[in-house]
Amino acid sequence: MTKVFEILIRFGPLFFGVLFLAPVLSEILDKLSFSIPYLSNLIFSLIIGFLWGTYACFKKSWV
Amino acid sequence: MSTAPGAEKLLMNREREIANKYLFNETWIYVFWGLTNFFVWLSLWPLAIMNILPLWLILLIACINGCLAYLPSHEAQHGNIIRRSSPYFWINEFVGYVSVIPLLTGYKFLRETHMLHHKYTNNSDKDPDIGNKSKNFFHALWICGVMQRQPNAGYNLQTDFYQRNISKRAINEHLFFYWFHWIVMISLAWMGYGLVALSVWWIPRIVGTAYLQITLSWLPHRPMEEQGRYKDTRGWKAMTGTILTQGMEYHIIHHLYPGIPLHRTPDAFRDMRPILVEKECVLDGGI
Repeated sequence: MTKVFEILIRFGPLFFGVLFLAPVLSEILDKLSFSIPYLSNLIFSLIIGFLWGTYACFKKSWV
Repeated sequence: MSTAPGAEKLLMNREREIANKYLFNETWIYVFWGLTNFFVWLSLWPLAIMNILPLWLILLIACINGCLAYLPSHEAQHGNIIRRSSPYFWINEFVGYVSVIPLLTGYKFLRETHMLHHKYTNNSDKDPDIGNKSKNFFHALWICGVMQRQPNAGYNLQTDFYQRNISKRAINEHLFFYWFHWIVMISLAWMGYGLVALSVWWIPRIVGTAYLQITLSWLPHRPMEEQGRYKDTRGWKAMTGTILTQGMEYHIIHHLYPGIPLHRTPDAFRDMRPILVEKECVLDGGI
């Protein structure tokens, strides 16, 4: 079980970016009536969440 | 000022006599504090989901809940709420578990790391709180508000020291709770309640933890370099007052006698002050 948790923690920022940050960001963009051409707010947020989460996974820092 | 062994013993006896007066007093306060704070925080969920209160107000209340969540659990960690020998000791543990839910930390994990903090205060390799060490207030804001929130921050549980000193059960309990929290947060986010999750739990947890690390960990031990019974913690007069620092001005008493409940530390401090002066403790700002 501890091993499972270790793997989950290692990829935690990626999970956070895609599974939490993306829908929250999309909700915020919807509330602000913000949209970009060719992409839905959710797809745009998923891209941001994936990229930022991947960066944080490898860099071990969000900043 | 050095004292002869006889005088030293006398001083220690006097110190213990004073401490004994303040042990186990009116500790029901922490049951009330911990549970009320938790239930106020819990009530924010339906209030936010049903749009009864504006989200900015929910966020504000939840941040206050986050800041108030730790100390009842801290008293429970020391077994200060109900005596271990009592059949009602479960109340002590219940308060310990429930009050820190807004901060997303397992109670047993907190207790075990906190006991290490007491044993190895300011030890750069063994004090679990040493990561909060900062040069000044703005640096502390950066360290506790930003750096301690990074994926590589926190306790390195893989090291031999933690493997030996933190039980697997405490770690697993903490991690189960941590991942359960994420299942709840992610579910809410995909159901369209992401801002609610953000305002009730995620942001308040960050704000509360940062506030607690600065106020309860860094300020009473700064510069976090000295070690020893009378040197590792200081008394100080806080500009923000006793309430906003949650009594941490008198944290030195807690490190000398962890069995004295928080609300009794100011009186114990005043009684013990001459001894602390004799022991050359750090007492800043005219406290």
